[in-house]
Amino acid sequence: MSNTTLEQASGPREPLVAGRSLGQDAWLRLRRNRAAVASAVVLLLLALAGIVGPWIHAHPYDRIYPQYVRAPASLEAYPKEDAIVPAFESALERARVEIGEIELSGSTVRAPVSDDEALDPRIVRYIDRSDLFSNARLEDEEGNEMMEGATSAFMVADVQRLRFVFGTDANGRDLLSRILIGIRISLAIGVLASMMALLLGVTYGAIAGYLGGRVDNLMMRVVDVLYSLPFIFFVILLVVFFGRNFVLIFIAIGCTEWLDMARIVRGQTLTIKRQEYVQAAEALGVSDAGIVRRHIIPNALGPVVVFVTLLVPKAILLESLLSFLGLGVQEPLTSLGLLIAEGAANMRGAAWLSDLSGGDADGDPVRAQLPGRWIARRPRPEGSLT
Amino acid sequence: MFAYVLRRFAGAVPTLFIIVTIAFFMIRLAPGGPFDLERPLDPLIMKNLERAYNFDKPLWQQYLIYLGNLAQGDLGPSFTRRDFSVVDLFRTGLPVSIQLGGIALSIALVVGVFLGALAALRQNTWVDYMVVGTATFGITIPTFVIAPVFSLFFGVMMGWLPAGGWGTWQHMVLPIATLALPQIAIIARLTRGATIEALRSNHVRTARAYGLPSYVVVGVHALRAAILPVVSYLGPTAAALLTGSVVVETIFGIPGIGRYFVQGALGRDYTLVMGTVVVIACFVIVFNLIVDVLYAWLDPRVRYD
Amino acid sequence: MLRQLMNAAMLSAAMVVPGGLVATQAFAEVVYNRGNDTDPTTLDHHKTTTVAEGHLMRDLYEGLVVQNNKAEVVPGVAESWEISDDGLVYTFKLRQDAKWSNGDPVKASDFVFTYQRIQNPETAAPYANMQYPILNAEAINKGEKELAELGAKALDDNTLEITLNAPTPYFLELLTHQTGLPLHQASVEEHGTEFTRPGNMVTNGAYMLENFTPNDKITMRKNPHFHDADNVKIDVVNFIPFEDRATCLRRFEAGEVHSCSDLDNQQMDYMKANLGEQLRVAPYLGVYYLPVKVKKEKLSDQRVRQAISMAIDREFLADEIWRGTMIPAWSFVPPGIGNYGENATLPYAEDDILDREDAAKALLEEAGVAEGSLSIELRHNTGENHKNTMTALSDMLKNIGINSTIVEMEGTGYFDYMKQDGDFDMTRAGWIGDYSDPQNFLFLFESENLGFNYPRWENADYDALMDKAAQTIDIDARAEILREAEALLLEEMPIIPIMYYSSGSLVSDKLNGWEDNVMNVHGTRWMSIEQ
Repeated sequence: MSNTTLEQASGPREPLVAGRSLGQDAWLRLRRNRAAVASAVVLLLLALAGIVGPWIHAHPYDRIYPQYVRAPASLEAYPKEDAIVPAFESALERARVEIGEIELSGSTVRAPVSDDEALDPRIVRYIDRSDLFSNARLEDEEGNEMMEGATSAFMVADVQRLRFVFGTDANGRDLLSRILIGIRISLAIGVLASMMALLLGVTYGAIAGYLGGRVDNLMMRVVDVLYSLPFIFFVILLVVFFGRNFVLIFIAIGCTEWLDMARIVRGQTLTIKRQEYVQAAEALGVSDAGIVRRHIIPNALGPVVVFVTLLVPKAILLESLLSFLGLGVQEPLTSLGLLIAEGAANMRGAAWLSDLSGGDADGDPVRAQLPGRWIARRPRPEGSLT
Repeated sequence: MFAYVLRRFAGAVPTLFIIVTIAFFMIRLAPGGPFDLERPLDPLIMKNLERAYNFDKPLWQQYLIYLGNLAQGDLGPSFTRRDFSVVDLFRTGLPVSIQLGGIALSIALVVGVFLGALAALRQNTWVDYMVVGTATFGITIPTFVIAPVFSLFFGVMMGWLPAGGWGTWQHMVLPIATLALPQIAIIARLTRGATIEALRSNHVRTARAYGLPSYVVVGVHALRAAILPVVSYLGPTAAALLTGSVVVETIFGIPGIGRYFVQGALGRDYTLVMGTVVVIACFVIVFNLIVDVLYAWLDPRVRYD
Repeated sequence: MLRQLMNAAMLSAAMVVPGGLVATQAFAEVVYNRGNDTDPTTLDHHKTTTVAEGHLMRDLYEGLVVQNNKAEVVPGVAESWEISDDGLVYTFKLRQDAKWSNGDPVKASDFVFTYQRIQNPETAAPYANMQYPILNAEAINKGEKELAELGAKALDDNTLEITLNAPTPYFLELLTHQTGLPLHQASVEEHGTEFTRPGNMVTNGAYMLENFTPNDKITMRKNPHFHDADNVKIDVVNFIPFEDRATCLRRFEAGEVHSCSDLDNQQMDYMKANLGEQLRVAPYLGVYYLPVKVKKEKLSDQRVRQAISMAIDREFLADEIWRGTMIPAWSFVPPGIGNYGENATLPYAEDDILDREDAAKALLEEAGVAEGSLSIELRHNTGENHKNTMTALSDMLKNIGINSTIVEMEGTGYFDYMKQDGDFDMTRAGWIGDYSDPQNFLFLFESENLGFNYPRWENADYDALMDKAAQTIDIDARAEILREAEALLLEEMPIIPIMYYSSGSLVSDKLNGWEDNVMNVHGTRWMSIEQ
């Protein structure tokens, strides 16, 4: 299809020309394209967010805030002003004491409490338990600590301000932290799937296509068999025989994602191997392995790279299917695929769930694609169309 | 070429046999059976059921029975839909899936190749950016998000099309759109990449040098080469599309066969799963053969020997 | 090319708009598009087990007695019946005008044929045990006795006599279940396994089968021979399977279906805000519970199990996780059940969660479990709400110093695993009553009942109480014994009841006659549609 690398590719001339290697060539071009660089930077930032984000973000990804189930996304801190007094009242009611007028000043709430018997100082825990308040204490009129045995006092507590920029999920966990941890997991899965496809798929396809004939036929029938086998059962059996194991996710995804790639590369190879430069190399006695490595694979890379960018989102979504079969990531961990699925189910119930996680997961493969798109242009002729 | 096709058809039989054998035992290894429901059955009744469906026989015997029936085109009774045989189910479902998948595939191919070629010809212009940007979105938004959004917007809010169901051509519009969009995106990306390369190749340059009109150069010479990776991609994709999509069929309530695979697998409907495996295998084998033949036709340098 | 594409797009847009309007009104007859949970396994009701199948059968067939739209037992094919004083012999008088959809009269012999068929081992009916109260039924199903020995006899064409093994206060209720419905002997014998096909199928209910397309719909047409046909107002019912509840909601909103048989809990808030009276949530005879593997060393002490139960904030689960589609449970048998009266209840039902946590911690200490030393695995089958429930549970257990991990499993493997005495600590399970009697809940944990007794709990006293209840004729005395059994179950706590189910439906305001009831039965013959 393309003989543009003829110059560099035909063996004997290489040492004579002090040319750039294919890798250097690609790197230079990549650097020159601003869109690609920008998206590489974003991808890097996302990776960074996924790796360090969960450690530095204020909310742990598995912390449940029972009072903030499905809190909408908001830049403002929770609790909202008009929710504080009722929440304080309902928490105090559980302590079964007489409650007077509740006053809110700044970030402290205060209410007189009294009982027929001496007040039990342990009733502060009813307040402390709420996600809205912290540091609850019983004070007397002057603000000193309550005397033991007093029958009336003031319950004072600080309002605990929490920020859920992306809102919370159905269990009351901060969505931002869940997305961060999801990015970490999904990026790992995406990277792995592309590695698997690249290593296994490209090699397999190139060998099958180059050797051709019986070998090609046999190798491609193996791919047909693997295409047709029921994936769900494969996953169920993995779980049955090896238990639940994080590594198995990678095996299950890796095992399926290389098949398309193998077929595409094999198809490319069939045309490439008839090119003059390959024939030249053959005539010069370059070994089969050498031809596949130096000529076939580099020239098939165009569609390969485009296709890898398509694989990444596919793998990330496939992982969410695995979770439903009991093999994917398990609670309290999560992944972007799972978050999107949850969000889609909540589409109108809690729209921010899908907007945010969906939006972010979209963003992620988008970034993954841009550099890929650019690298895809690599085997490029001098001059002509750009 | 004719001999080659014949050889491949002959080779399909052992391939199918291997697939059936592996799948048969793989499915039986999974825990649970077709009668393990959320509410367990009385052990005595379970025995009656197992006898009625030959499950009390040794596995190898069941396998031979299955192979024997398969050879006669009988895929057995379905366990989760006992009013139908597996063949019945495919007879009603397959035409629906093929119809939807076929139309979606054709649209995806025409629109995808057109957009991809357009983007390649206008590389680095706003046309290119639009195509690539849209395509990227099409690839990254999963069908289980697109499908409900379409149904919600066009069906519920606007009321232009049915929100789900099957029967008239209106019912087909949204599912086809949902199926075609991601494929358009992928095909456009593949075509764009390959066209850019093809435009720089010797034979296209030669064609230009001869002074052929540019639509001939692009339409005949460049596209012919550029479409090769698309063709490779289409083999398995066509097989997948024509055998139905679980997500689209569930969300739009379409009586195709896409759901049977998942319904069958989760309900341990052994015969139904085996049936889908056989159907999918046939599609995969046939389409990969078509792809290989197309390859030789599109690029005369390709030889199978 | 681009221009052609655009033309095509405009053309199709132009056709879409009027097309959508035309599609909605095509028939002059009254059509009810009814959402159902799934397609049936089969239309042979002897081989059905699910609630979704029950909805279909209720429209196709009429039993000796039927449930009206309030789930009360009312005469069906039988216009009257007598019960002998010892409660063992039921004599049904069949109505003269009962007819099959092909015009044949419904005879007592049809019922005898049907009740023999379900017990025939060759039929392999999964729910044959529902009708085990009939004399000799169990022995016939085991292959130990002949079909003719069954305690169901046709005295003449219009008189049916059924003899029972033991007095069974819920027997009439059992006859309303799908396993109690009749079959048309002639067509079943003629067509064999294919008698359920459209064209072959002969039914005696308000509707008859017209068409069945898997994953699309089951179409039924009004049966002209039905004895009460004059009062059946809906001409055609389309039962549409919806595995995805959100799909049903969308089609409901688009006006394409009149009712949905289940709700998408994820969208409860939206539905509450937008659907008003069309959203129905009614108490249901079902319980959501956690089996605890009592054989395991760490969970063998009942104080530990009680402590876990105390720490569970059931209100939070029901209201926040399940968005009000569940009700906090403090007993195993749901309230509102027949033949029972007041439930046995957990003693700490009224206590505040913080007090309960203190009590739980004290119990754990008493049992010698140090804080943080106990760690258990919570296992659940796939499902968004199950997952969220387990996640919340895990957090609640943390409050009393118990660590936990969560494991999700694919459904079929999960139930097989529990049934096969899998190595679990705690799981989740649900039970929906088949008939309104506490026995239908409490029998699950008899020692012998290995299929259901997931915790593998063995208690001789409990078994003795259940046996005694089965022999007791007096309803109140029987209820007292069953209550004792339930109290024992709650004390030993091999299972922790946490929520009662409620049935959720969407019912269009055009659809009249749909009454919420505890059995969630809604026969189409009682309904009508406003045009």
